[in-house]
Amino acid sequence: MESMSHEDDGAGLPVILLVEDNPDDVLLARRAVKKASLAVAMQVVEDGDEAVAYLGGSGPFGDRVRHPLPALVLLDLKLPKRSGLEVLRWVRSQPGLDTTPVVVLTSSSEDEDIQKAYALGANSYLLKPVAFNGLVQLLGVLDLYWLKNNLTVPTAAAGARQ
Amino acid sequence: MLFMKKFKLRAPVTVATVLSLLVLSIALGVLARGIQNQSGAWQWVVHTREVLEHVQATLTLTSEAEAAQRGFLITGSDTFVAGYRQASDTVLPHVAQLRTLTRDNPRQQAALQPFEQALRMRLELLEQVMQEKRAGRAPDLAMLESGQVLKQRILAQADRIRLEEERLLQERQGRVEAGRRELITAFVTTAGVAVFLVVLLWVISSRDAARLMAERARLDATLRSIGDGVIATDLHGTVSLMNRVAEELTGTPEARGVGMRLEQLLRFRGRSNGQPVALEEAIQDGGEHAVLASGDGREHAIELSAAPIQPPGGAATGTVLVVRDVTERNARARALAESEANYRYTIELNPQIPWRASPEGEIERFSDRWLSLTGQARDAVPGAGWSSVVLDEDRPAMMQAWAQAVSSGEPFDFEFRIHAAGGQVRWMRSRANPRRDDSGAIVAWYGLTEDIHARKESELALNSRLAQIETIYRAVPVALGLVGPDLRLAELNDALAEVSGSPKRAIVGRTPAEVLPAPVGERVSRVLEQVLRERRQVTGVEFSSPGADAAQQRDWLAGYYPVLDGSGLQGIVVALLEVTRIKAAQRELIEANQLLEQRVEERTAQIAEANAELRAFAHTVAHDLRAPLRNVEGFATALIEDEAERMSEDGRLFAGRIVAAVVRMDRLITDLLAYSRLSRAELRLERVDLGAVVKTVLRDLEAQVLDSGAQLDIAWPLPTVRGNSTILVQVIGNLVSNAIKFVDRGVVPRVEIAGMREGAVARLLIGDNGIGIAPEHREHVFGVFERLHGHERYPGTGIGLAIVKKGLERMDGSVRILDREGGGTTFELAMQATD
Repeated sequence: MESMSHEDDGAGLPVILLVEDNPDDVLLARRAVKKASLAVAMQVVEDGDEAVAYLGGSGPFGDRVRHPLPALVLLDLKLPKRSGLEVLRWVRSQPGLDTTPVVVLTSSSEDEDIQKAYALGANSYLLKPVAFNGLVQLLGVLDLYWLKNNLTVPTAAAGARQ
Repeated sequence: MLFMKKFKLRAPVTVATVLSLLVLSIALGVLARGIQNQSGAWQWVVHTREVLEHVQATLTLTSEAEAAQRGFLITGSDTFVAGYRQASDTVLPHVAQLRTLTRDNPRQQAALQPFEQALRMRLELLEQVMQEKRAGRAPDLAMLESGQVLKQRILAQADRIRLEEERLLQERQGRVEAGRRELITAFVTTAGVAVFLVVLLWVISSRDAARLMAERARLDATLRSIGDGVIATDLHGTVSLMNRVAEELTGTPEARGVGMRLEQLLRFRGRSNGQPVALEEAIQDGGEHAVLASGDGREHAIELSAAPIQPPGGAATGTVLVVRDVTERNARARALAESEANYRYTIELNPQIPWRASPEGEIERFSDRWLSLTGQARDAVPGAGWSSVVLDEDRPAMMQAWAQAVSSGEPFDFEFRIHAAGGQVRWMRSRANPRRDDSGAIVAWYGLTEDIHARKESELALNSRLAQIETIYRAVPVALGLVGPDLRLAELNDALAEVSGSPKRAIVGRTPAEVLPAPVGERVSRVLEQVLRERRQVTGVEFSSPGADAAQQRDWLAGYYPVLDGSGLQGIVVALLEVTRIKAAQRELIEANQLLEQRVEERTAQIAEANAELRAFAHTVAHDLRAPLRNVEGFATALIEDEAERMSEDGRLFAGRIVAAVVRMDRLITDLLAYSRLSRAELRLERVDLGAVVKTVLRDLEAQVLDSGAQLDIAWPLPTVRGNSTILVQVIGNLVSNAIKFVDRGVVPRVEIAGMREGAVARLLIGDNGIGIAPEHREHVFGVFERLHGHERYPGTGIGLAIVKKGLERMDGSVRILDREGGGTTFELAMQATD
């Protein structure tokens, strides 16, 4: 899995950070990105702690050239070590990350989960489509919306604001 | 008024006045005539002087004529002739005047004759001389001499006339003088008489005025001392006098009342209605129906009479009003009438019948009341005849008691029953005492029989009531005792004796502490002292007497009620109720309740735990179970996409089947999760517009509607209900989706949605032209996983209708399937309506 995350070196392309522990899902997600011909670089971390380390630039993720800050975070909720909601809370508490778009991508449609995710500052809450083609479409839409159309606060300005 | 009165009534004054006037007018008449006489006399004096003046004038003129003639004779100047002519012409008119003046005096007339003659002759002579002169002849001496003689005669005649006139003057002046004296005398006399009369009149009238004043004062005193109110008015009704009583009645002092209008002073109100009554009206009925409202707010019942003030033979000059205060009289009359009625009533109601009997006990005299009471004839009563109305049961004892009294001379007192006139039985009481003479022998018996039926009845009723209460007192299982203010038992029932374990006799007169078992006795004594102090009842005191072991413990509930009357605390009623069994049952009940509550808590905890587990399970299913499914689908799809060419036809078909199966499995899981969520979730019920819900559903199902070409017929508006909009969207979405889905091949789906409200219930009808549901299946289509059709024809999970049913149940609603004409199905949803 680790090797997979290093395969992508599309320098200059916007980075999507996928937080997903299921390798099959990761594999299918990569395939979907390829199939949708998206001009993005995908970084993958496998659990909550790793997601926090990546976003905080600590440990093995200290090199921002190899591990640049993502333009979009796709966050599963059910994760080993630290749950998706805890990752979300941590992200929203970080001065440099509080405006980074975080889209929850999960298979839980429990009201409680949806409520908590939005309460903690998720930008969107999406159910993982059952059909692979659904996933392809979904990623296309996400790219179109969050990376092409949506305007975010520049990182430097966001940091200065705090 | 007073003057007229005097004029009419006082004769001496009148006579004096008339007399005075008469005397005065006579005196004035005399005076007037004197003045008139005097004036006449004066006229005569003036007349005489005029005559004398004329004589003098005649002589003077004659002399002037002679002088002028002599002047002419000497000078021959005509100037003298003119003077002569003027004088001689004036002489004779004076003589004519003299004649006129002395017409009343013949002597003077006689004297005037020669005088005039001499004058004429003289004047002629003069004339002759003058003519001689003019003729230039010298006057004849004889002529001159005769002239001289004539002159002498004229003078003599003039003297005679003058003397006569002077004599007359003398005489007339004397008469004037006499007249003057007379006049003075008359005037003095008249003045004297007038003064006298004035004095006389003053004396008489002042004497009269004094008498009048005295009379007036007497009248005034009389009026003022009258016990009735007197008010005098003049003709115009203006008050001129009021006495003290009138002042009191009207509440107006005389000083203020005099000058007021009568209707201002006296205000009347109707005796019955209090409405103002006009003065005339009140006077007319004598004040019978009116009360006088005095100025100070009091009211007086009055009698009113009015009389005109009318002098004999004259016109009325005013009115006198007499007002009598009859308030007190009326009150006395009423009190008397009341007293009489009271007395009569008392007498009539007096139940006592006096009678008298001989020393031997024979009834001799009796009150008629006995007859009216018993209906006996008068002659049937004397002797022992009266006893026939006494009831048979009572008669022997009564006769015996009477005989005993008569023989012993002891006072008699007996209660018995009689048959009264009306047929009813009445209780009577007879008492009698002997009257003795000086020797001590009985002269007669005086008795009194009274009707004591009412008292006896209530006495009997009271006795019977007492007997009942006594029985109740004995019968109740409550231990009852009455303690006196000294806290010693005065009375107790058997139950209390049982508690104490001693016979009643041994207990009365002792304190509860001595009588009752130790702990009970002490408790009772303490509370008794409290009641004695506070004089308030104390109830619900619980205590127990411990037995040898818990099984023998006895429980008591005690109440203490002070017996209070006007004079204070008479005692305290103690009531002890044994509640041993009740207490035991209560204790058991409390234990059972505690156990039950404990169990409920345990169960609740278990359920909460189970719920939590279920939620975790659902979460796991949602997340973990679906993840591999998704992967299976993903890789199968990848297989088809990437390896289709290298796969056989069967391989591709199987891969496609894998994908379809996975999709179905996911649907199943999704629906199951929705169903389980519906069961678990906490629902908030609020006002939901079904119209808005249906619109949401149609938007969600837009693709399905377009694909099927379904016709939707919705009867707007739809009612509002109490529910949860998320669940309603799910429920109605399922039903509409089903309606579109379950149609025969080639049939265009038609869906009809209509709502209605019936009181507190709102209904939503969703009908379709689909394949319908047979009546025998209508019960179990709502079960989980219940399917009527194969997957090939009508794909589905079999959970949709279960969600519909569960969802409506969660919103306190219901769903049922109705028959539909021409096939198809109608689902009827019933929910709580809201406004």
